[in-house]
Amino acid sequence: MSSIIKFLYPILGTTVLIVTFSVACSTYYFRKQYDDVNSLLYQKDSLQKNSFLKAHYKNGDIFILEENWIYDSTDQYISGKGTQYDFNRKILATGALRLAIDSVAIFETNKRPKERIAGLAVVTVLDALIAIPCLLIPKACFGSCPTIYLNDDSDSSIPDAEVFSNAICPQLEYGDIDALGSYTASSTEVSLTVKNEALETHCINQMQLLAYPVNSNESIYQSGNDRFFACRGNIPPQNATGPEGEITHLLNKADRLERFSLASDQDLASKEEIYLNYTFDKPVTNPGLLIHFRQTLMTTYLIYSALSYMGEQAGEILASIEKGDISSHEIEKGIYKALGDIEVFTYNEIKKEYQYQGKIYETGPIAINKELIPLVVEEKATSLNIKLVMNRGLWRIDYAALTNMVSQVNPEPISPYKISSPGMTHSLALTILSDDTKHWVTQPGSEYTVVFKLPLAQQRYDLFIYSKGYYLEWMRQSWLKDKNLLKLRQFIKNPSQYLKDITKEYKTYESEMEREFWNSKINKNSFSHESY
Amino acid sequence: MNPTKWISMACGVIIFAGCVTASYLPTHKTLDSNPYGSYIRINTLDKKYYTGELISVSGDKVTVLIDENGIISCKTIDSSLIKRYYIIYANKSETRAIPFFISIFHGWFFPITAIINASLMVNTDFTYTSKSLKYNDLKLFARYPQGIPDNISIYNIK
Repeated sequence: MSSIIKFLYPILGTTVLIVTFSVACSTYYFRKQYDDVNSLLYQKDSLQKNSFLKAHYKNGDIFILEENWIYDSTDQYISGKGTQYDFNRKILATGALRLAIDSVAIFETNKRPKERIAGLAVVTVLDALIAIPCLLIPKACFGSCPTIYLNDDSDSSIPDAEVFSNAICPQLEYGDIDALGSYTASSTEVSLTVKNEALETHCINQMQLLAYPVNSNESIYQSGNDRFFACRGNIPPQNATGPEGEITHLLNKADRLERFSLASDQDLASKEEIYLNYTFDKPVTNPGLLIHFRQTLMTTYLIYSALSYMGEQAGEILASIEKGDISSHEIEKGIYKALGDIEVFTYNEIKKEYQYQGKIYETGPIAINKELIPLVVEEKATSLNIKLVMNRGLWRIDYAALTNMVSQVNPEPISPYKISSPGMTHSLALTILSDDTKHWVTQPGSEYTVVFKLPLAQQRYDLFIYSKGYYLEWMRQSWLKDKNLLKLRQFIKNPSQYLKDITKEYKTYESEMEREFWNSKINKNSFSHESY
Repeated sequence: MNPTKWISMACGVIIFAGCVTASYLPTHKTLDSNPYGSYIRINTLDKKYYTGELISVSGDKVTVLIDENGIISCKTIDSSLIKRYYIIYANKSETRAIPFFISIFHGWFFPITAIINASLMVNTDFTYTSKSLKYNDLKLFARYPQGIPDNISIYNIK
C-alpha cells in the first residue's frame, strides 16, 4: 500500500499543483465562462426595482442607493437610502438621499444572476416601467416632445403645438416658436395645457406666449428667422396637382384633410413636386405663401432607430454628445439635411423657369405648423404658379394659400404667471422658468395648466408659443435588441446611404405607423388620424 | 515533511500569494456598493505596463490612477498603444478555496473532487481580459463611465 501511495503522490501532487495554479491564476483558461458572464452583464432588463442603483453625477459625484430606491416621475427625482461620494470617493452624505434626475450623467446598476456570479451592468437610460401598447411597431411609439394645447373652444384632443422636436439631448437644446391660433378672451387670462404624453423626460428652459392684437380681417403668420407678418385675404389654390394627380380639394381648406404620399421604394431621400396655381382679381403687391403642414412618422422612425442602434449604451452616447465627444452638429444637420425642407419656387413668366423663393422645415408629426414664405414676384401678376419640392413620404400638407403680407409686426412676449395641475399650484416651476440656468422637468403623463395675462380683455389676439428646452427619449425594451453601433455611425456620418439602406425596413411598417403612433399616446384622447 | 503537507502549503502559497489584487476592490458581496473603478493592468506595444484603478475610457485614451512609489497620479494611455488589458472588478472570496482543500481529505476520490471543486472556484473569478471584454465596453468598469467630468482636473483625482 505504501508503495502505491509513494507512486501516486507525485502524480497527484503534480495534478493538484497544475489544477490549483490554473484555478488560482489563469483567467485565460476560463475565458469562455466569462463570456457567458458578459452575456449576463448586458441583459436588457437589468434595471429592476430590487437593484442597487448608482447614479453618476455630471460633476463626478456618485450616489449609490440601496435596493428600495424610489423614482418619482412627477417631481423628477430619485430617493432612497444610500451614500453620496465626491469625485475622489470621499463620503459626502449617507442615509436618506434625494438626487435630481437632470444632474445625472449615467445610471448604473448591478445584476446578480441567481446570486451566483456577480455581474456589472450599466443601464444608461431609465427604462419604462409602464407598458405601452406599441408592440407591433416599436419605432412608431408616440413621442415628440412637449405638446401644447390652447384652452379654447376648439377640439381639445388635438395639440396646437409641439415644441423643440429636434432637441433630443441637452446639447441640441434650442428655442422654438409655434403658432397657436387666434384667441379672444373674456378676461385678460389665457391658459395653455402643457402635456408630456410620451415616454420622455421634458426639460423646459423657457416658455413665453407671444401675442399680437388683430382685427377680424387679418391674421399674423410666422416666417423664417422668427419674423411675423400681419396678412389679409387668403387665396386658396385654384388648382393643385401632385404626382398622384389632382389634389386641390386637400389643399384649399384648413380642414385637417391632408395631402401626403408614401415614401419611395428605393430611397427614403427621394424628392417629389407639387404644383399650385393661384389666380386673383387684383395683383397681390406683397404676396406670401402660407402652408399648414406637419411631418409623417418618417423622422420619428429615424430618431427611434438611431436610439435603438445605441442599445444599452444610449445614455453614454448621449452623454458623449453633451460632452462634445460627438458633434451635435453632425447629428442635427446630417439626417435632416439629407431629408431636406419644403422648398418653394415660383414660375417666372419672362424667364420661363421656376425660381427659388425659400424653404420651411419643422420637425414633428403631431401638431400642424402654420408658416409663411414671403414671395418676390412680378408686381402686376394676376396669377401665380408655385412649385413645392419636398421629400417623398415625409410631409403632410393641410393647406397652401396665397396671402397678402400687410406689415411686419412684433408680438409681445408674455411670461407665465401661474402654473398648476389639478389641486396643486406649482410656484417652483414658475420660478424655474424665470431662471435661464434651470429647467422645468416634466415626466410622462404629466399635465400642467400654464396661465398668461394678456394686455387687454375682449380683444382678439393671434398667439404663438416660444419654448426653449430639450427632451430625453426613454429607451424601450424592444429597441435594445437592435443595438448596432456601425449603423449608428452610418446614420451620423453617411445619412444619404443610411436612408437608402433602411428604405425596405421602413416600407414594411409605413402604412400602419400612423395608427400605431396615436394608439400609443399616454393619456391618449381620440385623434382623427388617417391611415394610409 | 509528508507529501500532504507539502502539497497543501504549495497550494496555499499559490492561491493566497500568487494572485494579489487591489485592496480597494470590493468582494462579491459588496460589489453593488463599490464607488471605484475596476483594477486594470495594461500592457502596451512599447513593452510597458500600467496597473491601477481604471478612471475613464474614451475613444482614444484610457486614464488609469497609478501608484508609483507611493505617489498616486493619473496616467493617460493612448488606446492605439494598448496591446492587451486585464481587469479585476472584485476580489476573490477568501473562502473560495475551502472546498478545494477539503478535497485533499477525500482520499482516493481526491482527483475527481478536486477537479469539481476547482471548477466551482473558477466561477468566482471576477476578471476580464482584452479578449473577453471589448474596448468599447471597458468604460463600464471605470470610475467615471461617463468620462472625466469637465470640472475635474486629472491632477486632482486621487
